[in-house]
Amino acid sequence: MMWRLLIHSRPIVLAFLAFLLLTVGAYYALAVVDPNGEPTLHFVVLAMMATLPPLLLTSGNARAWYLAGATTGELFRAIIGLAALAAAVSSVIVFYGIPTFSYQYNVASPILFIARPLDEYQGPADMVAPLTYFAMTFSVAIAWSTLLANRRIGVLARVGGVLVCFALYAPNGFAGLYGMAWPYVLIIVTLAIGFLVWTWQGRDSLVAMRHQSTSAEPLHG
Amino acid sequence: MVKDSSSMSVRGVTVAYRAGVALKDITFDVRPGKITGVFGMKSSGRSTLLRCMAGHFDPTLGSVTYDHAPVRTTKRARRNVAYVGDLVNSYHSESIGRIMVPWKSLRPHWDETLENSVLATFGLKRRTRYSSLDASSKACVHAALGLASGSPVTLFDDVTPAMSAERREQFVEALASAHESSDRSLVVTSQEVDDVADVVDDVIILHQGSLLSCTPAADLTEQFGTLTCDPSRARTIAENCDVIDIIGSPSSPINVVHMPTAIYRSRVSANADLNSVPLEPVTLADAMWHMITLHTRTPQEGE
Repeated sequence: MMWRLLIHSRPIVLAFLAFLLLTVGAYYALAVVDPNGEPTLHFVVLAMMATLPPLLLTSGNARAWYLAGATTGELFRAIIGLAALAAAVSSVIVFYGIPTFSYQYNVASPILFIARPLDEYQGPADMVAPLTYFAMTFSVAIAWSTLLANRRIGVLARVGGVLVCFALYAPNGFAGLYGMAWPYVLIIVTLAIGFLVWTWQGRDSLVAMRHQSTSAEPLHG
Repeated sequence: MVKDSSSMSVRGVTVAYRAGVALKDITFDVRPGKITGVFGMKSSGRSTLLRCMAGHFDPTLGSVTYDHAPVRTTKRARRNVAYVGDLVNSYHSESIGRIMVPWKSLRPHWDETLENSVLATFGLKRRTRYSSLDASSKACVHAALGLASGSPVTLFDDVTPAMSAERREQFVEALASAHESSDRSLVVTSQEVDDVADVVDDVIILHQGSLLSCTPAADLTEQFGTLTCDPSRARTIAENCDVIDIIGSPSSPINVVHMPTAIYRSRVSANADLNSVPLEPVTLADAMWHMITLHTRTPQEGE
């Protein structure tokens, strides 16, 4: 179902790729404009934000798909799948596509980690940062896509999502958390938040979106 | 062609918003293989009823079922009950062809032959962007989606008002054709009864959220009739029985008296002075207005 909806929604895929390219471009632009600044922080936030426009479009298209005959369960699985896909691509780009980031913080990319000889294996901490980033992005993406479906709290969700991103990343930078217990806590907390949002808001939000759009319009029937 | 005799049932449906109650305790069945017209004045609850029937939201009270299963949560019902109306506007950035792609995938009864013929009838091209269309053409896209979906139950929510007169006729012809070639249940709402009066089998009349009538169209029109007579006789009839309306002034050469058939039979035909005036049939639109007039005249509970 997810792939069928994806194929039918070429604009979403194009938007996703376009925003990722823009994000990478923004990273290098920031590095040129402000070489002594904190481009990594900018990049992480930008990369995370880059997953959101396509999810926003997905939420918007959910109504069209629903009218076409999809069930709310199918729609929600599609959004979950898109969120995971967006987070995975974003994670790979952050930890593998940008060499400076991996070298600067000595973070092994998932691909290098898998391909590494066994005697170079340095423990599960190798995967902590990428997994944490993936979990964060996935959870925030789910939170966005589901919360955006609910207009009433959508604005709060957007503001809150941005604030959470900065609160988590800004104080010490992502590297400051690496190697500590915090990443594990973050994984659990963010996955828990994502799961809660999924079960609590997900299905009903998609329907609520249409219900609210109905009640917001003057009754013409 | 669709051969699905599953029925849709609406039982005790009440829909309440913060601003008020949109539907009050609505109960009826959509007869399989029939075209049902849902009529009523502005804000009567037509669109709310159809969206509820389509499973866009749960009613505050009551239930909507397709083949005895809840229509909102059952996959089979989602696939077999199609709704088209203004909500299709969320496709604004897509071409007509791309709008139809998910419908083709998700609607098991999608009819490509019908799709081609309806698009040709309305003069719509697949590559045309939806947002570039005028209101009449957008309504035709909605109609084409509903018709080509082949869904056993298809709900057309106020599709005709935005259409030009020519396209409205084309839509009604396509509706009748789709109905003849399949066992689909087609539900059409409109504020203008005349738009679809010729093709509807059953009529549902809503007024301020209440169900006034759910009956075959022929039965509804038989409930009322008109008498064409001179003004003095019209006034005499009005003095003797409860007429609904008199069209024409005392100075007019003729007046037309609208009245319930039952009253005509009990009061007029029994009166030797009046029974020479034959009762003539009314249109479906007139019958709807008479039904609403009688309802508003009758004191309601709590008043």
